[in-house]
Amino acid sequence: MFARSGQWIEERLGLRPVASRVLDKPVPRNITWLHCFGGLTFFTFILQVVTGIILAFFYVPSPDHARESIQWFQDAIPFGTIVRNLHRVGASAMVILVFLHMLRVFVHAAYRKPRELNWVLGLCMLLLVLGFGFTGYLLPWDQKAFWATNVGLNIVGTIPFVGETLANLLRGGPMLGALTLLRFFALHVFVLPILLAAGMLLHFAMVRKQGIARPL
Amino acid sequence: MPRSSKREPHQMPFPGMRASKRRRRERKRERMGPIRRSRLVLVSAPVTRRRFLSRTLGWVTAGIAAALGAPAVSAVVAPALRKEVSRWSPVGRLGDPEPDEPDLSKTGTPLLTTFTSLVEDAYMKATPQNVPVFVINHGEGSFSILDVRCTHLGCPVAWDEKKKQFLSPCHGGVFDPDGRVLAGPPPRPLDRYEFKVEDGVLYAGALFQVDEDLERVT
Repeated sequence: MFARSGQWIEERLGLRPVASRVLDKPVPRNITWLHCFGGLTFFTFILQVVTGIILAFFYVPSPDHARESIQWFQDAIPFGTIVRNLHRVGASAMVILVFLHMLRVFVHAAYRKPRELNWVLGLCMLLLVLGFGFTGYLLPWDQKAFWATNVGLNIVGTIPFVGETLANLLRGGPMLGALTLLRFFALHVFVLPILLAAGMLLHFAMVRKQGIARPL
Repeated sequence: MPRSSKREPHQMPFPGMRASKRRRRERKRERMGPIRRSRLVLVSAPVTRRRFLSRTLGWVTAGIAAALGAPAVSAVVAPALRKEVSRWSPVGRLGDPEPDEPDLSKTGTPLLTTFTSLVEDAYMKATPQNVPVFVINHGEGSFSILDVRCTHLGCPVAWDEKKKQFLSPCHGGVFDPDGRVLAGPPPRPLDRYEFKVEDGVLYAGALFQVDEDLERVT
């Protein structure tokens, strides 16, 4: 049944050559299991997007209800605890995998000419991933989240000249509160995902264009 | 009459023969012979390593998608399937009222009062909501607790003491003292709350609808 409807679409749009140009790319012989970390990072990104969307159906970014809504999601909704913990553990896994990927690229010296741009882009994306971690950590709005963010923003404040302004910008004022939670939520759910997705697209396009680095 | 349009006689199973057994026998009859089987082998593409791997990859991907999709769908769908839990909320004390309490002892006349509903709204636990209601004491421990909202579009009705009617301010809905529709667009009598009396306190439970004979329908 699916084969026939696939053929029906194929007759009209002729997508198969396009798909094969995108997907059927010969992979060089020197690929090892160590080359998997980038792809695994991408997989955790998908995982975070899916579980994050489910959480967004239930989470309320307000100091009154943030904690209760999460607690209620875990207690009353089937798979609630699993989904929330997948998102939490997935976040840690993503950071670890990003670093392993980076380590592999570094050890293979794959950042050298002509791939410097992709390395720099990768570093920017590393900051984005850490930004995800930092903003997401506040969202449960419990004691640990509150004080960890407090410390993090105070560290931002120690940057010479611009530090205090930058911290206030992130905090939405001099006091950590409702605005901070909303800001971090907006960054976590709207700004960072768009930036990271765009970055990944470029990252993959450059890998495609330049090929995978030859062994040392 | 052409032969093709003639209907097949309905096949009855042999008495004492189970349906599954019959089906198994039919399937056996459909099984391919050696020639058809070998032809099929020649026609279909051989399972190369590439085909095997891409198929395996496809199935693994489908498995991961299902493992992620099942919690996603069930978590999002689950709240829609939840039943509303009715909670009993105190409306007022029977007997001599304090100055700020409603006097529930007067029988026969609807009394406008409010009670604090303890409805749970998802993560919002027991949000106090002041709910206006008409309480009618029928005597002998029997009460009616009528919702003030008109069943047409939800305007709050008012009790007219002279006419002995509930009047809706919006589109001319008129209800009798029991909440039956007398005139206007309302489709059903006023909604009402379950009630119970415990230790001299009147409690309101779940909101429900009634038909023209005041029989509960929800």
